Amino acid sequence: MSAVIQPQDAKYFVDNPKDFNPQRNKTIVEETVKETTAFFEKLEGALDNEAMDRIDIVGTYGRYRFNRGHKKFRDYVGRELYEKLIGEKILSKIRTLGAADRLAGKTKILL
Amino acid sequence: MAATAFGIADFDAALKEVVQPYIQDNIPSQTKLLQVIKKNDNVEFFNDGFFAPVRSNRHGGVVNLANDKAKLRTGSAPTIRLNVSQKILTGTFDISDVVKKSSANDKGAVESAMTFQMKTLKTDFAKNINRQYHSDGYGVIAEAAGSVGAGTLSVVYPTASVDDGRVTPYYSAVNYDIKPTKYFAVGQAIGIGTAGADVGTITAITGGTAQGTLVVTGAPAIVANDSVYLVDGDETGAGTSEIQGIRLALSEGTADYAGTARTASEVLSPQFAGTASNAALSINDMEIVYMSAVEFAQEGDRYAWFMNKSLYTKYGDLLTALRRTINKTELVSGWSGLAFEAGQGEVGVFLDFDTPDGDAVLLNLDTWTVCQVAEMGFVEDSAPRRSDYITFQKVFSWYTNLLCVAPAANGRLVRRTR
Repeated sequence: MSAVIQPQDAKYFVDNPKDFNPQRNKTIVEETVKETTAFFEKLEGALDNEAMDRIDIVGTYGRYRFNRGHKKFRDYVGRELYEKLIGEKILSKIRTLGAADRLAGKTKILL
Repeated sequence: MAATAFGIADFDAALKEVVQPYIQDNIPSQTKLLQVIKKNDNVEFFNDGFFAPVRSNRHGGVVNLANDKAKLRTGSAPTIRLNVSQKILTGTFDISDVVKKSSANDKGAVESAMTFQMKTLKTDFAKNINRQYHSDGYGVIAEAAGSVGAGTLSVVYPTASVDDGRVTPYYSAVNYDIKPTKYFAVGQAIGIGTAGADVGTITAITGGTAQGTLVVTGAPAIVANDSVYLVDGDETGAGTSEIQGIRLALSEGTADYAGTARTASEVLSPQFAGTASNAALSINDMEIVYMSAVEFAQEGDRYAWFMNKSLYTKYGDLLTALRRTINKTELVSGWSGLAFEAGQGEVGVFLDFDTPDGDAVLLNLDTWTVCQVAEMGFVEDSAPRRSDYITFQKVFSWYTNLLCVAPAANGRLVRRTR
């Protein structure tokens, strides 16, 4: 047995393992480390595109509003984009709530 | 000349309508543990505290009668009340009036400054939360190894000699998985020594694996074994302002948890092993901790092990040395780990770079709840120019804490080495 194994772990040793492949094990460990690292890098460094777009829109509006003009945000971006920006979020929340209700078995239609 | 003196109220409204909902949704998904822990689950909020009722013992009225004339036993199932206070997490970004006005000449300074600030605030806020979830709430980020000269201190991962007597025990760096300077940033104010009495603002950081160096403004007193904390703008809050996370709930110490003596109920004492000396990670120890924790769990509770990089790879090596086939499992989409099989089914072992060095943490995810007064968001303000300054400030805040209603259903292995 390898020096890696502690005496108390000897009972977990498999004498004649079926389909045991150390290389496959190594690959899986490396793969999970890689995936987790990528996952954490995404958490730390990136934002989803939608949030980035929104921050860009508001940043651009800030520049306009502080120095160029008096328009309210709704007038600046136009009704269509404004409603899209606000409405998408509301719709997404409603969809999430709806899905949660369905999962909880609350299927009664109130309206 | 600027078209208008103040457009901040309109900008503020746009920020709240368009960006805030996305930040509220994104920070939880960017904070690893927030993705798998429920919010305000069976918790009530009153004034400045969160309260949770917990059953503390078996029903005293359950008894077998000796015969049909024997007296019944009166009794009930006792409950205790756990409570934690709210912690005030904040992040600010300032835009100066000069930068604001400079955008009039098409340089785009305001746009880029604001965009950059909003984006970095969001990601750093998430990282800060994850660190605190793994902490004991006393806010010791590092320990001073000593002064290297006026305004310069060398820091190490906290040891058993760290001078804050309240902390969950530290055992020095075991695998050097967390650099002593990992959680410091230039511009942060740090408190040094008991209650963070000596204060400085970080101006430079040099990070080594075993020892790092912080250069701070002023010449605060620096003595070996001083605790080093992050402090707020008033240079206060050392040891009392951070989220009371996993290390506190699953502490090997006997101090009260959530305002309640651990002796009040065995459900408040976590399963842990390994305090006596450093020892190699072993599956046997993991199984013992897991089986002990499961006894306090409820049907269907979700379990996961969290380890830092050295122990995670060691676990993989161990399975291979035992000639066992490793299977992959997933906690949430994108966060994959290795399966751990121990009597009661399969539990995932996951890599988390914020897990304290040398710790293998077993969490019963259904015994934890994120307490919050409200969703995180920008503080209401219409003209947020800082008094006495020519800068405009946005403040992002979250009033929250973390609570474990059954530490006994969780466990920790400490001082585990590769």
